[in-house]
Amino acid sequence: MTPKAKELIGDHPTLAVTIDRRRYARHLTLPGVGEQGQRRLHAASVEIQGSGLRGWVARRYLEAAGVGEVRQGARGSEGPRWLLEELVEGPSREVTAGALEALEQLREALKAT
Amino acid sequence: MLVIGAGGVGTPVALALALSGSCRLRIVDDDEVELSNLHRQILFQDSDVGRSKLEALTRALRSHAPQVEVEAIDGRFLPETAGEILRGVAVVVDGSDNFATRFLTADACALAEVPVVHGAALRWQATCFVTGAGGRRPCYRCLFEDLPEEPAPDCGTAGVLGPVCGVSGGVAADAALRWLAGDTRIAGTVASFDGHSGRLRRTRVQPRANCSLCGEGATIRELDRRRYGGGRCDA
Ligand SMILES: [Zn+2]
Repeated sequence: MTPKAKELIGDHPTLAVTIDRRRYARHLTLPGVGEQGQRRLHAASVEIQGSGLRGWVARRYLEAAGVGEVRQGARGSEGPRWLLEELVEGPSREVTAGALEALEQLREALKAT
Repeated sequence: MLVIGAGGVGTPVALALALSGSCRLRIVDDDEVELSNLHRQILFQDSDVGRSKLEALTRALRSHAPQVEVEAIDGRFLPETAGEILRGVAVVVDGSDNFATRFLTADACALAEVPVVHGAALRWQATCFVTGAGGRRPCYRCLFEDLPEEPAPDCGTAGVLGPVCGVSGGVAADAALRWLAGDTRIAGTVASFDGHSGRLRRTRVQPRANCSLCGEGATIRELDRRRYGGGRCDA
């Protein structure tokens, strides 16, 4: 590691990974993620609560985003109220719920220092 | 049911529709899976890079919903091919990635009186616009008028978050299935989702009196290819 890199990222080993610039190209130009955000995602360990289709969708979005570790937790909340009010029960709602769960975890991971 | 585009929005739409078991799916796309798709197109894997999206998507859909009937159309939705692709379709979900295809879809479907659900995702925002009664008023052009003259921001330059595409796709699939079941209460509305707050807002769109597609003196009566000269987002 160069002294400059060490100065930038400290001793945190997971922050030193090289970013796959082609794979995560759409994150690197995205306000709120960028290079620093992508490093945070790689270093993050998150827990998903959904099961079945919802859990699969949440896990896939988190893995695809480059999140370091995705753990399965206990069954949690049903999601925001609009989800139940606006969408009919079934696979469309489950896919949306999984995406929302992944999004919430990404937001948390991006905030972490 | 027709899904236009097997990308970030089209793939979750197709997954939800396939699992609903309530329709046959026709999917049109001409792209290959690229490495930069994988962060958001969750039905594709590393081994799919370089393969046709249709092939990869059909295989993934069959593994989730073995009974699903998929008709894959390898090509683009163009003024010349629109009529044939729309034949026998009850509802269209537009998951395309460029304004030219969006406007073409809106025009072709309004002329054929097929309802369309337009799903889109950019940066942290997802939107889903459901056309009005009979696929006409209000239409996509009531909201967006015409192709932007300046190059519009697309997912390639502006970036997009994967789950935001998933929300767009899930909400669009829900709207399409409601149309199919005869529930038209959300016709003529646009749902906007903000990925920062996690909130979704649905607003009713007013038909524009002088809309060139559905207004009183409507000038769009056929598909003229010169009208759809916009650029596209390749990844
Ligand atoms: Zn109109």
